Amino acid sequence: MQTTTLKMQSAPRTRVKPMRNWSRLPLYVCLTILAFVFIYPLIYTILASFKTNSEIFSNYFGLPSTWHFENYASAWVKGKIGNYFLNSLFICTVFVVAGLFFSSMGAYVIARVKAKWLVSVFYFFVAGMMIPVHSILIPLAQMAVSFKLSDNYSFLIGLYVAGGIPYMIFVMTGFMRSLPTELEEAVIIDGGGLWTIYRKVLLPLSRPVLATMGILGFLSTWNDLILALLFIKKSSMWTLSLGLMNFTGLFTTDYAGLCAAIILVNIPIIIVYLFLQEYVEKGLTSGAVKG
Amino acid sequence: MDRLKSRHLQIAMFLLPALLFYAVLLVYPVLRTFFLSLHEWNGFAGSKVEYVAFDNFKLVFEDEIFWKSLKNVMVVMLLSIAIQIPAGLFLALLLNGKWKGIRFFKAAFFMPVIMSATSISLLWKFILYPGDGLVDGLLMKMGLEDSIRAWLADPSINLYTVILICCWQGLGVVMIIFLSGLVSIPDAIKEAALIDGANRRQRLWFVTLPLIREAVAINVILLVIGTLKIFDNIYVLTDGGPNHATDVLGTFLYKEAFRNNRFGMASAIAVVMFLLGFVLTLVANRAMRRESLDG
Repeated sequence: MQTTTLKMQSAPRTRVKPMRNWSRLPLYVCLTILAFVFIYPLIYTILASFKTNSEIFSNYFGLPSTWHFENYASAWVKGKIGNYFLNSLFICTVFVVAGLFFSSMGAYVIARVKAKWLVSVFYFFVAGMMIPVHSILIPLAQMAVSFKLSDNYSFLIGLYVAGGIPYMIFVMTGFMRSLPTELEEAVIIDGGGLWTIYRKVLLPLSRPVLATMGILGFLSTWNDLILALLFIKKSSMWTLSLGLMNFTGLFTTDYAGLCAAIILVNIPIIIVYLFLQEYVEKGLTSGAVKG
Repeated sequence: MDRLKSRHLQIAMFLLPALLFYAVLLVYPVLRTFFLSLHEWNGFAGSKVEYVAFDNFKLVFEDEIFWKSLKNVMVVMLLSIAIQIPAGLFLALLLNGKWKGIRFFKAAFFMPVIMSATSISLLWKFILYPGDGLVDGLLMKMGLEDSIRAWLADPSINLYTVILICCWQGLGVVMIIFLSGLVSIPDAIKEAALIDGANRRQRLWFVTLPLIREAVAINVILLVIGTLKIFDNIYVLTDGGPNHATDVLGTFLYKEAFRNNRFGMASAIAVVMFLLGFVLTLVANRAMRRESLDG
């Protein structure tokens, strides 16, 4: 007994250091192969977006023989991706600003004001996280018909805001509860009210959670298909998801153009992710891990 | 007293915008769905909404496409869990450490998560293009012509193709949640196991796994909820076809409501989906809790 314990104790100390570089080699090889499987479809699409149609279907791994940048021009102008890009950008921006503003106001009083009824309000909001989008589609369609809300960005953005509020309030409330109270007390002594505290203390301190929720909200709205599909019919008002889906119908043979369009749609998302990797990952897991 | 009143009024003003959007565009529609599931309505403005009791549910349960869709959803759910939990854990174990390149690998596996389901589906449709797409082309070059199938059109395999694509897209989330579980294991426990002479497999089985049970539970529940409402991928990849081979509850509901104008029946499907999600989440939660008590 005694000897085995001793052996185990000393083993890692002598073994780990000199072998460090070589012992990782299988790990690197394994990960590289796996990462290749994950990324190759994307690389393939990028390369295909610069090829001609016939080259796409004959040259699977090589670089394009000549780089056809005009595929992008054609997707942007003829495929109207530029138009849909601006539509999506507008919708997402308004949604993020409105969603963050309304949710942070709500989360602020729930987290910082002591009142029993606010606890019930909190649970009322959080219950909304259980609602799947499919279970509200039909009444929304009914609303759209009777109030003529189809092809109306305010309605669509309102739907995104309503859908985003439960998760935003849930995560923001958790964050704001953990903030120190000293600064707040200083404002109260100076005679400031709720609004002053919210604007001067809570909002600046909540920047990290606002960023996380903003990025997450932006991504999910940028990627949404079903709500846009149901409530935006006019093709000049389509979002990127709709434009992309109909791209195949319009130009059945232009695969290079389709690839260029796919890349154009995802470039902003990938850039956002690469620069703000931690925020994106935290946003996706913060609610899950706490709940 | 007056000051107290004005303070409550002030608080209410802070809650009002969020409450208004949430109540009008999320809570009211859910309640309305329950109401509509007991009524018949053809979707046109001004047409009658007629009370029909449980007729819509009867229609749903007598429809064989409903059962097919339900079966497909269950297959997607179970296979997604069976594939993504071990695969995600495997990736997380490989990436749990501090060394050069970790950020790159994490980003590589996470990239498909942030891309839209629409563009991912179109991308795969293109890669699986019959005849000269990337997959068929490669198989042809390797002399495996016989194994080429109509990946998205053959009803005996296309559901599995769709499932694999969904797993490819979703694995990053599972991995990240496992990683956050692994990071939270205290070093002291790992060292204690090492000192006690536990080998690699014993450490994984008796130390790591029990300690990340929470992460397993979260992943399972998220997968259950996520697969139950799967829509985008299937809508773009196969539109539920051919002959409903890949229809799921989400596409079934969409078609009944917005192609066949049977809004009452579609509402009943929505209610079934809502309740199913509720029950499955409870069951998954219970099962996971139970397990952690036994351990």
